[in-house]
Amino acid sequence: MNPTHGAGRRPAILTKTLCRESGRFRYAKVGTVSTLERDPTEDMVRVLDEDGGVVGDVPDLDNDELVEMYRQMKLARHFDERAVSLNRQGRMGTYPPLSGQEGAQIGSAMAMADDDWMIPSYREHAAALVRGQGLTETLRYWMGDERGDSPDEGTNVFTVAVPIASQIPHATGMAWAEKLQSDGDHGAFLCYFGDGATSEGDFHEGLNFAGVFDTPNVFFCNNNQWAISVPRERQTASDTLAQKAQAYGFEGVQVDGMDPLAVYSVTREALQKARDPEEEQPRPTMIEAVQYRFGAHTTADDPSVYRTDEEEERWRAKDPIPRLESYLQSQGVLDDDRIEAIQASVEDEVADAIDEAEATADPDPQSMFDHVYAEQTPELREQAERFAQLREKHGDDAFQIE
Amino acid sequence: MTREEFKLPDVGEGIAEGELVNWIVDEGDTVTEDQPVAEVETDKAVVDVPSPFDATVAELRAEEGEMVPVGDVIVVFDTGDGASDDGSAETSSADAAGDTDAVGDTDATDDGARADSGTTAGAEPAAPAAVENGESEVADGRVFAPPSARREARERGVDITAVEGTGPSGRITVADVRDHAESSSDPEPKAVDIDAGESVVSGGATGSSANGAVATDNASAANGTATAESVESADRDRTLAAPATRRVADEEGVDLDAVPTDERRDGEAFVTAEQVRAYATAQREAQAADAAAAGGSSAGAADTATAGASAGSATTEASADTGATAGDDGVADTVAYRGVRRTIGEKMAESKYTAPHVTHHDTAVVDDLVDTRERLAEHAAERDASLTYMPFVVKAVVDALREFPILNSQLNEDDEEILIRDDYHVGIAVATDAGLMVPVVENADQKGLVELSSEIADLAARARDRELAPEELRGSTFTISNFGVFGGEYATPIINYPETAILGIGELDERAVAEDGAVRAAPTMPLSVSIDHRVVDGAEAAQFTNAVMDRLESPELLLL
Amino acid sequence: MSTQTPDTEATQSLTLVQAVRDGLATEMQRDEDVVVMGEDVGKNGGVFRATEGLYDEFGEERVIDTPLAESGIVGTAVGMAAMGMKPVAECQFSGFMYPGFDQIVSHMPRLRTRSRGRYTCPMVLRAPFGGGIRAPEHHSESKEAFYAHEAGLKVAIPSTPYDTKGMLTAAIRDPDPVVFLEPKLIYRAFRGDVPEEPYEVPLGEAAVRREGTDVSVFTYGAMTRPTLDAAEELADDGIDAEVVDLRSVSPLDRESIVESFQKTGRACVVHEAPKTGGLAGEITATLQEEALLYQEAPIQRVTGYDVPYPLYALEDYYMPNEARVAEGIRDAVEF
Repeated sequence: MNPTHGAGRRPAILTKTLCRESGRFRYAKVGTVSTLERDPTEDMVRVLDEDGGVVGDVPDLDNDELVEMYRQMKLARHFDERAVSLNRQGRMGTYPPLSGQEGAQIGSAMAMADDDWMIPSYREHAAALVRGQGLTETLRYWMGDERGDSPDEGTNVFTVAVPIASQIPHATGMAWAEKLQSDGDHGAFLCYFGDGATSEGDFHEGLNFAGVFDTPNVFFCNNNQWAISVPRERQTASDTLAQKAQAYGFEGVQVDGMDPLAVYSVTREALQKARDPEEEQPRPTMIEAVQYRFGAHTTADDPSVYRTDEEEERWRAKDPIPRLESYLQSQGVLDDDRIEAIQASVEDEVADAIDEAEATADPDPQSMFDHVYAEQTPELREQAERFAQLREKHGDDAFQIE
Repeated sequence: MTREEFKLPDVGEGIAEGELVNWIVDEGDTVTEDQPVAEVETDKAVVDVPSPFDATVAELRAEEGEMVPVGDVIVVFDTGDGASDDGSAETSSADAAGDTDAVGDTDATDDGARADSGTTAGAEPAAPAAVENGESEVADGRVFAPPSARREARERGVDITAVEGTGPSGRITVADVRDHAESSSDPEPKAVDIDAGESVVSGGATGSSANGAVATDNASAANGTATAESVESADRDRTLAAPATRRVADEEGVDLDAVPTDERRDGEAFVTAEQVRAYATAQREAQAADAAAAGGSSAGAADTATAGASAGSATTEASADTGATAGDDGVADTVAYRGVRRTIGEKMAESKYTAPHVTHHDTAVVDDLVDTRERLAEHAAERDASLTYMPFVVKAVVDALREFPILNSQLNEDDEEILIRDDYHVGIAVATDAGLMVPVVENADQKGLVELSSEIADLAARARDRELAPEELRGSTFTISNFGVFGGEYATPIINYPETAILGIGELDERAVAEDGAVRAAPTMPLSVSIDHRVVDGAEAAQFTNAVMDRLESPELLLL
Repeated sequence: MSTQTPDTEATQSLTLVQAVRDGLATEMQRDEDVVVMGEDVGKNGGVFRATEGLYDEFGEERVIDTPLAESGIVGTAVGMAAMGMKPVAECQFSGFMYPGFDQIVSHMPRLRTRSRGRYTCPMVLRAPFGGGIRAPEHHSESKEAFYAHEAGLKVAIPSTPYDTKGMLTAAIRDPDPVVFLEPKLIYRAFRGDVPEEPYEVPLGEAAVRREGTDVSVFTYGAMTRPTLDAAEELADDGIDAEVVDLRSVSPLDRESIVESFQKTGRACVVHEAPKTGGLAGEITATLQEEALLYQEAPIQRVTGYDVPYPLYALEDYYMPNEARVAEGIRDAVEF
């Protein structure tokens, strides 16, 4: 497979990329430089360049869908900025920002069909938003309220998974179940994770099962270059993350994760293959969406300790929002008035969600004892009763830890 | 005008304090929601702290360079006016794309003390000003160092602005401060902070042993002292005993420290459950002997005198009271005092020694009752039921209890209250081979004569066969003892404690009755009502007895 | 403390997390075989800054930023330790130890046993644990019982800066593997004097934090503070509680536990971890076995509830606090 495993120098790596014309993946030389140093627009699927110019095949989206994509990205960005600010004001706990990653999240989520499923990690608020999860719920979750992580029926969104890579085997299992339970007509299961996750055993095990059992999965790696302070090139000696899929017997694709149209195309293709592969074609795909988180890992993190302003600036030039905005303006789909109106409506929507989240009463302390088992055990009932008595006796103020 | 205090939040999972690096606003400035007002550096990060309100800055409570504990108020906003003229659209646009510029503008127009350009308000925590822009060191000696480095500098007496930072973006690390301190040969450390380390907090040691003693002594205080004269008790400060023994002591109301023993474990006095029971028995018997002696009742005194003798020996030899054997001193046989026998005994003792008993006697003349029962028995027979006198008594009692509910009660001494019941569960004392048992007729007030009759018969039969479930022996609120089946007229029934009254029925027989100046033979039923005199007065006992008699003598009253 | 020999008796005032850093630094200076490894421990100085500056001082070969893989971190540390190094591995939060659990239970404690002493595992596995800092899911649990249950592991939980450095030093020098759980709620809550020189606080020794005669309260880690607060509150009511900080939950200092209980005859055990299967049960059983005859009241347990640790909106209700601890002590005393 790898013909040039020479000692002392890194081998040239071939990775599969999607060819729009044929609808098939093709091998491409990725090179030997770390993704950090490499211009991510080279050798990977992309549709728009950094200025919004067309360099690939524009997917078949009508103007309304394109504007919707733009609006969702604007909404996610504004939500993210306000969420960080809420943390800084003490109005919300730790929060993982996503700015810079809107293209990958919105592009991939919009590619999903209604019957498809999304299995997130903990940073996919934007993708969940596309799937129908409310901003208020997302805020409540990060305000420490479990009710915010109880996705509505029909959104086909699985719960947040905080431990890195732990959701990947779930995605394989869910897809496997769907395949076993259905008569061939089923959705696909898209699982999000980050670059750091590819180092965990769960990543290997989840993808390996998917290959062995040929499950309808798309493994969507949001490679944002940094697992907290550890750069992508310290996670793996592989030249790309996408190439890891080869070892599991299915295709890996690298896409410009800050190009929402490219992400949309690649994801849609992979989902279609998962649902309905051609003969001898494995269902699963791994997509490596090359991107950058502009902000911190979480609000408890300070990226200035481990990375430079210059690096951030370089990646900010690839910001997915102005890219799509320029493209849509050049196509006459958006004008300044429309952009302003979208911005205003996005601000209103986020402000309303914050108002609603903050107006929601904290969960009843007794609810701590709910949903532990289908039927509460006698021991737990006793603990709950004792807890109620203590609250009655001491008042809830006695429980506030300084 | 509404003033809102803004407290420094924990911006990084367990941050205790932060340095207020720099105010981005002045008092009197108008701010919008999410607009950064201060730059704060914690051990983890440098962050912009934004305003939660559209407001005017009323008061800055912290100095630049000050270490502020999380939770302290750093700024007071006035949200009542000033900001209200800002439309909400304008407010929110200020925190969107234009943020960086807005902050930069503030810096530019302000007094120059703020050199934090390069920070953005939204997506990221503020990055320290890039080294290359040079503003950080030049403008006001502003340096980037985490609190740990600043503290190190303070403690080493190092001017932090003189330290060269080698960390990211020129940040000063603790090591930098140390290097600087060592190179300038002034390593004298100053340890001034409070110690939370090894020291043991000791307090309240004196006088507290008394508290401990109280805790173990309280059970015995009530009766331990009362009997101290009659039964010799040990008087230790501590006693070892298994938890089960402690339970016995608690039930018997005995202070473990008072129970005599020669046994020792771990060098401390050790007491067994048997020793506790022996001591308790000895105490009670001695008490009874005292009482008997005082009352001059020779019969009672004779009995307790022998028991008292064994109790006396218990104080020196724990097993002596169970050691008497058949053949010694005219003892014909020994019967084990165990199981049901002992349970009965303990219950009787508990009742008799706890509740001061008074017994009221009277006799009902029951011609009508005899007639009524005879007539009704025929109807009952048609239903394959037999009808005894007992159901009539039960119904009479329930009726009378309704009139005098104080006899359907229970004394709860611990809570200082008398519980008066409005349900009527009547215990029926039944003699069995194993001893006395008291099965319970529940809700006797809701049952007819035939039903009562067959239920009582069933309970009694099963009691004799020892087939009753434990719950059938619990929960009575008043008890009837029909000792009359063995003959006799009056008795002093012992209350089925913790109830407060019991009715004993003598044999229904023809006796001489004086009526209207003449004596005639008439069927009579002697009644003996014992009451707990703590709860029930003698007059109430008499009135209750009268009420029972009325109903037995005129059974048609039971129809009311 | 004498100031005549500042070189050896100089102290510094440190927070608990700084004492971790200081303990690592002094042992790394003393012993070249000591290396620090884990996620973000190097350049970033640890997400809690527990390894701040070590990367600059000792270089990337001794302060190692690893890939994001706990099984890899623990497993390679086991291998290093088998070869005679003294790795101090970090799991970023105790809630993320589980991918490494196989290594923690299958190999860390068993290398010595399996090889009959031919190979040993003198490593330390550090992890911040416990709740109360408004962190997301899986960042707040207390699962020390998992590790105490594993024969061959020692489990240390300091509660003061002084103990932190001393116990960490002892753990690094220990010939056997030590799980070193750091109560992150009090990482920065207060300061204490910490000698600059290395010193050991032996593992397996409890410390009496407050002497008392009426009841023994056993606790450890972050719960030591609310327990001491409750003891002071009860002192006003004439209840004189002895507070014993266990410091190591494996091995337990059975001697100190029994000694205190023999004095008081009453006990209350306080921990954040859930009740069922928690250390309080083990301590209670120890007292049953060794001091039954002294027992004057049921032993009370003030613990977290048997529910998954709630998200932070409710975490204050989950954690034992001063009021709950005082209640438990009262129940033990007023039985």
